[in-house]
Amino acid sequence: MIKKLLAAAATLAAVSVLVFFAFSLIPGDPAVKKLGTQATPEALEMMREKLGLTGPLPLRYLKWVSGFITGDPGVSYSYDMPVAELLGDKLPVTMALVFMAFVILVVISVPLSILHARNEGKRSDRVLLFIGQGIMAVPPFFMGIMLTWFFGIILKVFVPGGYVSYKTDPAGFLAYMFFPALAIALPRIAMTVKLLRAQILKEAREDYVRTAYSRGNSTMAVLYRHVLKNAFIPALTFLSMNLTDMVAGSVVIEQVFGIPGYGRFLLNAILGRDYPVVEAIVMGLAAFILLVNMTADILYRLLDPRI
Amino acid sequence: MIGRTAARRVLSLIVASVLAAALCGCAGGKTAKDSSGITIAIPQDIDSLDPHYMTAAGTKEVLFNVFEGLVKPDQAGDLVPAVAEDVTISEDAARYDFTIRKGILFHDGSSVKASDVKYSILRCAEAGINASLSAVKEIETPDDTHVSVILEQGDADFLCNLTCAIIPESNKEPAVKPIGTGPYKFVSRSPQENLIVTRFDDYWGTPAGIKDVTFKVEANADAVVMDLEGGSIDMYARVTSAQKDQLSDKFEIYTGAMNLVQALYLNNAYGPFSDVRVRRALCMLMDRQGVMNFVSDGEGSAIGSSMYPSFSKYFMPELNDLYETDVEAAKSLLAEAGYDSSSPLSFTITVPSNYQQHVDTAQVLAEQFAKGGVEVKINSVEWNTWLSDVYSARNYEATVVGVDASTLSATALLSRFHSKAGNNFINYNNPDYDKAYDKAMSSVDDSVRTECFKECERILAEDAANVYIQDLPCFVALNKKFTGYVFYPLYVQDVALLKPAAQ
Repeated sequence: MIKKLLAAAATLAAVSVLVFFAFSLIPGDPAVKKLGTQATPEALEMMREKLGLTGPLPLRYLKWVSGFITGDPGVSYSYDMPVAELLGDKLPVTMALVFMAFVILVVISVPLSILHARNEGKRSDRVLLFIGQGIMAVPPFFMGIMLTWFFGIILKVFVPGGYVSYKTDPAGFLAYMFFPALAIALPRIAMTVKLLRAQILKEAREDYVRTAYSRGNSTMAVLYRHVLKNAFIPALTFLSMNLTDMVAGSVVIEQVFGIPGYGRFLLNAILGRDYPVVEAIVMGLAAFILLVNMTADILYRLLDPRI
Repeated sequence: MIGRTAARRVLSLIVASVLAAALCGCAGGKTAKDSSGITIAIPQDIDSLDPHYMTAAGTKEVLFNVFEGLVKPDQAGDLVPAVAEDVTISEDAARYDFTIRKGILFHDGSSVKASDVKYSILRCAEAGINASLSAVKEIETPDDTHVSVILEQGDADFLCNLTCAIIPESNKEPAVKPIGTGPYKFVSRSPQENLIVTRFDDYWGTPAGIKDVTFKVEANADAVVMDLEGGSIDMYARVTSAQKDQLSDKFEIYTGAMNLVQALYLNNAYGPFSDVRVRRALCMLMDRQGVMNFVSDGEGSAIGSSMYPSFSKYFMPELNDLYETDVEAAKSLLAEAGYDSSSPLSFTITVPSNYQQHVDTAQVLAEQFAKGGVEVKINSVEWNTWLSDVYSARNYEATVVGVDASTLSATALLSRFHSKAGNNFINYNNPDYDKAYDKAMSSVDDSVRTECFKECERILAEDAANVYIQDLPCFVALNKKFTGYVFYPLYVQDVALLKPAAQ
C-alpha cells in the first residue's frame, strides 16, 4: 500500500513537470491575450511581471509547485480570481455529471446483464446484443446531439441549452444533467453489459455453481452469493476504467449540452493561455484517476482475499 | 440457471428508474424559461468586467449596455453626448471642455462628479490598453460639473477615445462589482456560464425596453440552432449563413455587416511581396465575387482598401473595381517580376483556424491563384499562435484575417500602415502614405483631414498593399417575441433598443 502511494506521488510529480513545461513551450503570450493587440509595450511588460511570467523557468516551477502543495494554485489570468475559488465553484457540476453517468451505468448495466445472461440464446438475447453493438459504435458527442434532438426538440422533455445553476435550482440542475449523463453512459452501458454477461455465463458453468446448487441453494442465492461476486472482479477493472474515461468524455458532452463544467474551463483555459487554470485542472484529473485506481485495488481485495 | 423472478425484478427496476428520470426531466424543463426577460447567447465569455481592462470585442459589445463614456457612438456612426451634456473643442483641438449631464447617476445611486471623470480617464490611460490616451497631458476639474481634457498636441479625432467608461472613484472592486451609468446595471456573473443585467430605472436617457437580460455563454456554436429552437436562448448575433437557413419562422433574421476589413494581408517585407507587380498580380488573380459566393452566400460588401462601407464618410466605393479579374494580365505582370512556369511564385497563407470564414477564403484564394501559376500553401494555426507569430513577431508571408476598428475614427483603420506604427503587422513602408497620414493628423480642419484619409486609402489600393476582399455579412437571429435589433458601425449590441413585440 505504501509502495502504491509512493508511486502515485511520483506520477503526480511527473504530470506536474510535463504540464508546466509543455505550456511554457507552446506559442502564445498570456499578456497579449489579456491586454489585446493595441496595448503599449510598457503595459505588456508590466502585465508579464504581474502574472509572474518573468524569471527563470525552474524557479517559476518550484514556486508554482510549492503553492500547489500548500493549497494555493495561483490566480486565474483571465478571471483575476483565485483558481481554487473559480474551480471549487464548478466542481459540483462535473462531479454531478460524472457520478450521475456512473450511477446510470451501474443501475442499468448490472440488472440488464443478469437478464441478458438468463435469456442466453433466446431471441431477446440476440436482439439486445444487436442493439448493444449499435450503441457501442456511436460516439458520445453524436449520442448527445441525437438525445437533444429527440428528447429536446421533438418530445420537448427538456430545453436544449437550458442549463440552470445548482445554486439557484438544485432540482432543475439535476434534471438537466440527466440527458448529458445518459449520453455519456449509453455507449458504456452497452460495453459493460457485453462484458458482464460473458462473465456471468462463464462463472455459471463453473463447478462451484453446480456444487452450490447441490447443497440446496436457491437460484437467487447462487447468483448473488457466488456467481456475481466472481463475475464482478473483471467488471470492476472495467468500471473503474469507465469512471476515469467518463471524466474525459464529459469534456465533449459539456460542449454539446452547454454545461459550464471543468471540460469547458479546460478548453477555454488552453485557448486563452490561462496556465494556472489548465495546470490545476490537469493535476486534479490526474489525482482523480489515481484515486479511482487505488480504490479499485482495495475493492479487489474485499471481493477476493487471494489478491 | 437464473430465476425468472430475479429477471422480472430487474426489469421493473429499470423501467422505474427510467420513468423517474424522465419525469424529473419534465419538471426541470418547465422552470428553465422566464418570459419577462430575454436570453442572448454570446460566443465567448466576458474577458473582464473592469471596463478599462477589457480587450475582447465580444466583451465590449455586451458591456456597451452597462458603461458609458463622456460620449458614445450611435447607430449612424456619430459620437453623441452621454455622460457629458455637451463638449466644446478649442480651435487647435488640444482642449476639450465638457459639461457633465445634469442629474446623471451611477448604478449605485451616487451622482457623477468631475472627479470621477478625471479618475476614470487617468485610470483608463494607465491600463495601457488604448495607447491613444497617452496623448492626455492634463485633466482640469474646475468644479463638480465641468471637466477639461488637455492634450499634448491638437488632435481633432481625439473625441472618439473619450468613449472610455466613466466609473465611480468610490468603487474599490471595479472588476467584481462593476458600476457604470448605462441603461442596464450589473446583477451577477458566473464564469463560462452567464452575465445577468437588469434595467437601470434612473437612467438619464430612454429606458431600456426589456427588464432582465441574460447573456449566456454559448461555447458550442453548433448547438445554436437547437438552443434557439428549444427556447433556451432568444437571440444570437453570430448566426452563420447555413444556420440561418435551418431556423424556423419563429425567428427574424437581421442582416448587417461585421464591420471589418477582410483581406489577404501581405507581409510587404517578405521578398516577393516587396515588389508591387507581384502584389498587383495577386489582386488581378482574385475573383472577389467567387470568394464572396463561397464564403458568405454572396452577401458581403466588396471593399478595395482599408475602409469598410459603414464608415460612409471615408469609404470610397470606386476603389473596389481598381483591379479587374484578368488572369493573362496577371501572368504577364508576374513574368515581368521574374516568376513563370519554370520558377513559379509560391508562398504560404497563415490563417487563424478559429475563423472558418477566413480559412474558407484562404482555400478559395489558393485555387484562384493557381490559375495564374501561383503555388499557395495554407497553414492553419490556433489563434494565440497567430497573435504571437503573425501579429506580434510578423513572421509570416501572407494571412487572411479581418481587421476591425476599435474606435469611431478613420485612424483606427489607417494608423497601422504608417511606417512607424507599432502595429504595422504587414510591414508597409511608403513615404507617400506617411506624408498623407501625417498631414491628416496635423490638421484640425475636418474636410482637409477627410481628404487626406481618402488619399491614404487610395495609396493602399493603388499600391496593392494587401489583396482587399470584403466586409463580411453578419446575421442576427432574434425570436419574434422581440423586435428592434439595430446594427452599429462598430462592435456594439445595443440591447436597450430591443423590446417585446406587439401582440
